[in-house]
Amino acid sequence: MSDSDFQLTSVLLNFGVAFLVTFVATPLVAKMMKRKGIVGRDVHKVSKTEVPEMCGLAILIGLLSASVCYVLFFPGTYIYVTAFIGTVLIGGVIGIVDDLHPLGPRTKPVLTALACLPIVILRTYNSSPVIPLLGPVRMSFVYPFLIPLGVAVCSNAVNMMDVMNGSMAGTVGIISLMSTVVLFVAGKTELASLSAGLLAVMLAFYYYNRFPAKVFDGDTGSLAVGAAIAAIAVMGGIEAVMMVALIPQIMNAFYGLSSVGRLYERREISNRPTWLLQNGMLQASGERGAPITLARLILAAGSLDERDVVKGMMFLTLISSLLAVLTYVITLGGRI
Amino acid sequence: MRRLLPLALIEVFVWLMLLLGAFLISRIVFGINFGTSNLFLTLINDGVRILVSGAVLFGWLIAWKRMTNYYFWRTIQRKKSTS
Repeated sequence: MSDSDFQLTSVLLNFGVAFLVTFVATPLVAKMMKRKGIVGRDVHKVSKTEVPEMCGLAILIGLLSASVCYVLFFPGTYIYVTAFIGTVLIGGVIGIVDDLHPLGPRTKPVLTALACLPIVILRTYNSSPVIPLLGPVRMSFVYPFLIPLGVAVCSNAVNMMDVMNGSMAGTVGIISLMSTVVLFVAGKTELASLSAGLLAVMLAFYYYNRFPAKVFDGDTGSLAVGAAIAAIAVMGGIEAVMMVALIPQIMNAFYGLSSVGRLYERREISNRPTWLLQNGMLQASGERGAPITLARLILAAGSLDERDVVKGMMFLTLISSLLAVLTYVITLGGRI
Repeated sequence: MRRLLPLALIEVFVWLMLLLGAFLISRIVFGINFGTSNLFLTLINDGVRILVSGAVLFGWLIAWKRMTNYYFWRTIQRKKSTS
């Protein structure tokens, strides 16, 4: 087997296992959650359907199984895989706690920052991130302190985008496709494989979570996925590229926070950013006090179906992912 | 999907500003040099660099927020006046 065949096989292996396990596990987890009465109301439907919550557990199971399988075939990659899966699991556990006993708007970012511990402890990072037009910038002392910030921002930004059927899985799917390609081209096969695993998990989960959703991932899924993206960015040395790909998520979080003026939880906001009309369409709120979220921005020009809002989010993520690839080319000089 | 065009343009603007910010930091911030002959000067040097970089970042965020607010409220007003 040639070197390129070997690299491609490792990426495909992770992709295949992650997809299969998540595809099978999601309905099983949904059934379990329904039996236990862990369900949520789909607030963007007139019928307010009950949907099993916390099905993000299937995302954790998918990523964990693929990673274990990957290490069995490629034992040399265990440090990266351990750091990745450790970060994802810590993010997931914080999500489970938040789903069962909602955390405060300040506690959650602080706790999610702790998800970076496996990366910091195992030193699976390069303290000279590559900045566009600047090249590698040595940040030996500062960089380890920036990792918790990056993980917290990433996890919570992904979590804040998880507002409609398929919005989180769809947008993260596009981002992870971009990161898989970039890392593969950069020759970072282990990280491209982990990223391909995330892509596969998102595709399988999207099948059940798309409109009309049969499952909700809850914070269990979104915080774990956010942590996974941050881990891939930090360990792969593609921080700037990933930041550009995450522009829609960052826009959504930044607008929301800056318009409310503080950290907030969706459930504590009385002025909703969007309204559900009698005909099932969504409309942007015209109230000054409501947070300006990405969904509200998309709806500003007129009411839309939930599906179209999510398509809009995915389109904007596609644009940002293309800009991310362009950033990689500019940054490149082959130094990533 | 024509409504997404302004938002896509905001994305491109944010991206270009990010690149411009990186360029400014590379030209101006890394050009700041009070000397590094002793610890005090090194600290002053790094402190000023961080402050100027922070100012560039803050300016970027303000420009981003203003542009979005302008787009959002203008679109809402226009929709109100036509309905």
